[in-house]
Order: sequence, then C-alpha cells, then structure tokens
Amino acid sequence: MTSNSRPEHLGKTLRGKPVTLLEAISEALFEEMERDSSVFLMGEDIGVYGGAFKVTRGFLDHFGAERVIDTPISEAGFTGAAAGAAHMGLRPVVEMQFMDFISPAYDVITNYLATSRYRGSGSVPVVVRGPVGGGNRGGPFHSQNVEMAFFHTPGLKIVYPSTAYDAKGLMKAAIRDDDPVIFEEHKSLYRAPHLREVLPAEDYVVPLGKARRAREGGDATIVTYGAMVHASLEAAAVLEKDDGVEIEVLDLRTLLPLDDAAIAESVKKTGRLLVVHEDTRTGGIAGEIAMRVSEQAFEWLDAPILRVTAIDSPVPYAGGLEDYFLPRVSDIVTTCRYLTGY
Amino acid sequence: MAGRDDPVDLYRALALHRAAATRLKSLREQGQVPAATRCGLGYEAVSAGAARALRTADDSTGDVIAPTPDNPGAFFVFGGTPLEFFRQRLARDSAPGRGREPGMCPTDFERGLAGPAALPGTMVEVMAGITLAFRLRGQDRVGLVFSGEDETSTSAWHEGINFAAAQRCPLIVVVQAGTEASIGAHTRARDFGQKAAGYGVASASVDGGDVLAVHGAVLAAAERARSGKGTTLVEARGCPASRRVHRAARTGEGRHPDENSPDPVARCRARVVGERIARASDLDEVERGARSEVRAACEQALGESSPAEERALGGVYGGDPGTPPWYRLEPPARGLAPASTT
Repeated sequence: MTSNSRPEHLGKTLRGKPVTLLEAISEALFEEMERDSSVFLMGEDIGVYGGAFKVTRGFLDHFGAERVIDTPISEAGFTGAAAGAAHMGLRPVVEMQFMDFISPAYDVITNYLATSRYRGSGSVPVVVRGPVGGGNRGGPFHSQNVEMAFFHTPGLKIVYPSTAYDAKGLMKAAIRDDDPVIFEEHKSLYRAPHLREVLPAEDYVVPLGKARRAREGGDATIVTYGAMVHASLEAAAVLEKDDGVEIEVLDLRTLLPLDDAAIAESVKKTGRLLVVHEDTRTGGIAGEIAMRVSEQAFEWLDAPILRVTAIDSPVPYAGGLEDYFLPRVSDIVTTCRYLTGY
Repeated sequence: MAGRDDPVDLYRALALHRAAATRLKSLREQGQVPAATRCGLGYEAVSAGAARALRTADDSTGDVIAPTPDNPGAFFVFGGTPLEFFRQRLARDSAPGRGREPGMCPTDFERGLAGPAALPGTMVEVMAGITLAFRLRGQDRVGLVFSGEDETSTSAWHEGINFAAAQRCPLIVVVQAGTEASIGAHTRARDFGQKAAGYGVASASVDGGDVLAVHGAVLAAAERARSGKGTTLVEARGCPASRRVHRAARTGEGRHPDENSPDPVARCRARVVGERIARASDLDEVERGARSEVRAACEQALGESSPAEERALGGVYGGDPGTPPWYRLEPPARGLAPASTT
C-alpha cells in the first residue's frame, strides 16, 4: 500500500519554509526517488521505524516496501547486494545506521565497488550514507568519522556536507553519479537550528569535487569540512574582531576527489594554511593536503602548514573526555594566531 | 538451455571444460600464469550441469551466473569463449579485463556473466542484489552463484544467503562440497542442507560428479525461483576438496586422500555410451574438437601482447582519462613547481 501525496514534513521547501540539514537530505532522497524509479533505499530500520535519525520517516508509506527495504543487520550483505542491484541498472542508496558500522562492509566497498569499473565489471552507482561525528556523547562506537578509512581507495568518492543547501545538492549529485559515493552526515549538524535555511524550490545539484569558499580573507587559509566549517567560521569571526586578521575558510564539501585547484588558489593568495578536521590526527586528510600544497604551492608559503584535529584516541564517552578529544574553536584561534604571526 | 538436456551436449560442455582446465594447468606448470592459478579440474560436472539448467541469452534477458575460477565450463555455457578464457588468464591487452584482473570470468551482464570479487563469499552478496533486482522488476530471471565449501565459513557468504532468503531472491547457491571429511574441516553441520534449514531456504544434495544429477537439481531450483519461491542451496558433493584441506593433507592439487569418486568426465562418458545414447567414437570426436578449439585459442592468446604499461592509467572513475605522474612526463625544472602533481 503506497501513498501518492508527499508527506507533510517533506514539503517544507515547496512551502518556502526553512529546513534543517537532516530535512534537506530527506528531501533530496525523496525527490530523487520521485524523479527516478531506479533509486531505492536499503538499510536497518529505515522503513517502519523511519531510520535511527528519522531521515526516511514516511518513505515506506509513500514508496512501498519494494523501494524502502528494511534489511537484516548485515552491513556487508546489503552493501554487496546494493552492488548487485546497481549492476542491474538500479541506483541503491544504503544507510549505515551509524557510519561506525560501515567496517563490516569495508571489503565489499574497497575490493568490489571501488574496483568494479577499473576491472571492467562496470560502474556501480551506489551511495553509502549515514551519520558520523562526535559531540553527542555517543562513545567510541557511535561517533567516528570514517573518511580516511576509505580515502586511500581509488574508485570511491567521499562527500561530507556542512550546510543544508549543500547536503541536498550533494546528495542529488551523489545519487546521479555513476561511481560509488560515501556520504557522511554529521549528527551535530542534522538538527542544528542555526543551519536551517530556505532552499530553492527548483531542482538543483551541487557538483562533486568542488570546494566552497565559506568566508573570504587574505591573511590565512583554513581548509576544512563538515562540522569544523562552523567551528572555523566562529574562530575566524573572533580573529577578525580581536586581532583584525581576515581568515579565508574553504569548505571542501567533497573529500575525494579533492579540489586541488581551490586549495592552491587560496593558499597562493594568503600564503598560510591551516587544515582543520574533526577526524583523528595521524593519517588524517591534513597530511594529504599538506603534501599537495607542498608540491603545488611551496613557493607561495610564508609559514609552515599546520593542523588542528581530534587527538589520536578512540572517541571517549564521558563528556569531559570527549570535549577534550574534539578540536575546539579556541584551538583554531590559537593556531591561526601563531600562523599569522609567523 | 533450460530444460532436460541432451546428454551429448552436456558431454560436450564437460569436454570443453576439461580441455581448458588441462591446458591452463600446463600453462601454470610452465610458469606462464601464476602458480596459485586455479584450473578447475574435477569441477566439470557441477560447472556444466548447473549452467546448462539455466537460460542463456546475449541481450541482458537471460539468467546470470557467478562462477568461481573452478567453473570454466559454466563460463563457456554462458557464451564465454576459450579465447576470452586464455586472454583473461594470460592478462592480454585483448582480454575483456584488459589485464587489470586475472579472474577467469570477466563481467558481461549482456551474456549473464558476473565477474569475480576479492574475497570468498562476496559474490553471494552481490548475486543476492542482482536477483533482488530481478524480483523488484518482476523479471522471470534467476541467478546462480558457485561457492567452494570453504567459502561457507565467511561472514560474507552468511550475510549474502541470509539476505537473499529474507528478500525471497530468485537465487541458487551451489556449494561445491567435498566429502564428509573435507566438509568437517569447515563446519560441524553434517551437510550443507542443515545450513540451508537455518536460513529457511530449500536445499538439495546431489553427487557433484554426476552431471545429470546436478543438472536436474539446478533445473528444479530454477523453476522454484522463477515461481517466486525464493532461494535454494544446492550441495554438490564429491567435488575436489578445498585447497585448504589439500594443504592440510599436503597432497597438492588433486583429490583428497579419502576422495575416490570417479572422474566426472569419465562417468558421463560411461553413462552415455552404456545407455547407447552415443557411440564412444562420437564422444572421441567431441573430445578432439574441444581440445582442438582450446589449443587454437591458447596459441592465439599466447601470441598476443600484454597491455602497454600506461594502460594502467584511467578508468578508475567515470570520465577518468588517467593522468601520469608529472615526473614520468618531463624532468622538473629546478625551483619551479610542476604544473600537475596528481
């Protein structure tokens, strides 16, 4: 039994109302399923329950059980099945209830989906999406950022939005992309009131692989993504007010492929680079960005490349411990002061 | 083919499998292919008998199979040619996989061929998704995946068959089992039918060296799947024991010490001749034809070139032409940043 009308909570944009980042993702999924009958969803508790964070609330009633499939607890199984369905011309979007749970599917994502096109087995347009990130007292198994577990795998794309507008446009682009995409959604941004915005009523996509200049400045560049975009903007506002320096903030939006051109352009303008990520330090994306800038813009640098990241530990559970683990606005301010004074 | 088969045609399929596997073994002994290459000797009956129970087509309307490297006979039944087989194994530029992966079976969904995965069990997940797509689209198609008995111990195999069972996928999982002794190396279950019961799927156990028995069991499973009754596990006993068991027994390739089943090709021959379905001389002619075809294909593939080195580039993503590292293109000028470092 399916319903023809759009659920009320998925029509805010059509009514000119602001939406949260979570609602933007829901709208993107809904509209892509309306637009293209080959798009369908799989995951644990996404149907009857509407998903752990209610991203797919109301989808089962509207699209039916054949397009909103509640799976057994089997991240590897349903991700592998998504690959098979994609081979047959469907466009599956699979939800990891928490992205921490993607680890059982590591084999099928890295060895199968990512290599399929290169091996001559054809493209596999699969989106693997789910909530990531700390700050919610979720402890070590419900708070991780998983991007770097996959960043080293050619054949994958990795998306990590920071605004509702981008989340919707990037999700649509990911679903329409013919390569497998890992789509990370920060839990702290899902319902953040300050991120509510009115989105365009018409269809739009945000192209993968293109960074966004979130703030213009000439004294130093912060390259960041996800929740740290907002921490960086907050730090930049403090630095402007207290120190009179202008920090440029570049929101990567897509981590793989990286927008090398945008990073190099900004660094050549400011001569100083700070990379900020919520992910842990060692093997984080800051290392790769620093290397690329060293290769492409070394002569424009006026100071060492620095990074602000989570500490190298599992995500701790206790509030105080987690607060210490995560990067803070004050960390970014302190580091920028060092950088601009170098 | 999807009906009671002509025993002479079945014998032809066995003979082609045997000839190709024998030739591949020679190449392995000569060091022309890696020492770990699996040839498929002893799997003739299960390969050909199962594949010939399904519907083949060359326009994406037939059934889909996922052979292991032990199943060249199934590959040939689904339209694969000995020339493709040797090109693939010898990593020729002309191979469907363009030398990028060594799998015996390249992916070609028009012909119903699903290529390999890295780890055992993954293709059960992928085939669950392929057959899920058949069911969602109301197509009268079936998928079949071959597994080794050792594969059944993996989480991927479990999640794949459980997913297929839960979603009533029209999937046939053929477990190429050895003897009681070799099965006991992998499970405390008496046979794989016990495992099938745990998943709530139908099962059949047949002599894997008897091509007609395999053919009949898979034919029944396919009819069952086409009528909406879901997944079936077919246990084909008497196949060569898994390599893991071989290693334990230190017997090298061949049969496990307690495996005394007659050669499946000889068994089929004895039956066809004994029941006066064909004369021995007719079968001799079939064998000569198979050997001749295989010899010609192998010689042609041996005479072809390997891919040019730079063909390692490109095709990782859609529209990816492949960009060589800058230091392969031009010597770097001192003090100047290279134009591209990716």
